[in-house]
Amino acid sequence: MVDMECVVQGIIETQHVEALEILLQGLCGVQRERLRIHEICLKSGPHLGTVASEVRLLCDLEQAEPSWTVIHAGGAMRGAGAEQISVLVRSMVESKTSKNALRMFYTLGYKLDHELLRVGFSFNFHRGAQITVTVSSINKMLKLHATDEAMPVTPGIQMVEVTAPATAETYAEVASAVSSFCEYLAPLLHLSKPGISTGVVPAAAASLMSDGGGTTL
Amino acid sequence: MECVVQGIIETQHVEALEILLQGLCGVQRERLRIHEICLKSGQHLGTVASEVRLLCDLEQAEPSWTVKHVGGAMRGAGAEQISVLVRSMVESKTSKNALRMFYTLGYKLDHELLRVGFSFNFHRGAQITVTVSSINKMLKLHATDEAVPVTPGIQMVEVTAPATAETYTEVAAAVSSFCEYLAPLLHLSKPGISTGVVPTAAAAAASLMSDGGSTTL
Repeated sequence: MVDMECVVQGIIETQHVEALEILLQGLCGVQRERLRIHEICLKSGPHLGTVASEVRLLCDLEQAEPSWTVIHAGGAMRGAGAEQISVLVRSMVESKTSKNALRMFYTLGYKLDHELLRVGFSFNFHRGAQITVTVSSINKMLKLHATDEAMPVTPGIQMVEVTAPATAETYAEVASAVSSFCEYLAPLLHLSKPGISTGVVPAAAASLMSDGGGTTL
Repeated sequence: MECVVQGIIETQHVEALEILLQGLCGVQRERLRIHEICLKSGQHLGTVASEVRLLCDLEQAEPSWTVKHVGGAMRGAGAEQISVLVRSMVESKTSKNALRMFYTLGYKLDHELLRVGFSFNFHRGAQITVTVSSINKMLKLHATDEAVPVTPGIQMVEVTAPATAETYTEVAAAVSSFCEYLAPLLHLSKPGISTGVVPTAAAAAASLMSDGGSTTL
């Protein structure tokens, strides 16, 4: 049972996203998938003896029929072992759901904390682990749930996230696979554990664009 | 919201009830086998303990999961005069991973049971569902194949209909009217108000059985 995930994040200037896509196309060997996800972040009040609980409802707007998923990302693994791993390992549980889940969680005492719209593309492939690379602009909504009126939070900058599901038995190998893969992206961007910002990488984009997608391994 | 009444009937009269329902509802019965998992969260600050039920429909080719939250009953003089209970109710389809999700969110297993029986779904002034089932407890956690009746010889009958703040009056009236047709066999009342079995049930059942299903309206 998958109950953990390995994740790294980074940012890239929008002007270099096309180059990144070319590189990913070559590395992953699969077609990209368009991404348009309405993400609703809900929080409950503090429980007695428990930290505030946070749940994210994701609505995949790219599907013919919007598809809903509820995700709970828990605490990150800690300790000396975790420090030595270059990717974040955290507990993660997700469940498909129907659109009525929002009302359900409101009824259970959760409240809207914030919502955002992710627009971009992703690659899903297997390379030592089942890896997903997501490149998206993060948009905020001017009105509640108004996904048609969303504006970039950081114009000119997009977020890159690399994730892979894992279990208590497999996370070491999965972390290693994610880490290895990220090294191939190093010319274009730095990927690190969420919360550790390393900025953008200069220069490599021009070279990739001129190669016109000739990069292969 | 939903309108609901409940009652009990001796197992020996269930066949007669089915004949009566077949005639009244004009639809085929549906077999029912539902694994019901009742979860509770700890006390919230300022909120009553939250209770959620996960229902797994075992009759489906692929088990189908629903999460349901039953809220408070309507109160006040108006509610007192209605012979059915009106209460808030929110439900959402979900996937089997929801159980782990709720455990992660701090919910704990309170109890679980297995409902086995049949139901009729039909429209008669409102979309009504009549459920007749034996309530079984499991000898081991989640072991639905080893369930034994909680009250041998007695089955529960529940009549429910979904409603909104605008329609509950009409829905309650429809449910109440329908229940009058069942009066010879069983009493239906608001949950929590026990009225036992009906003295005339044996005679009514004998009559229904001898008619061999010819009862019509």
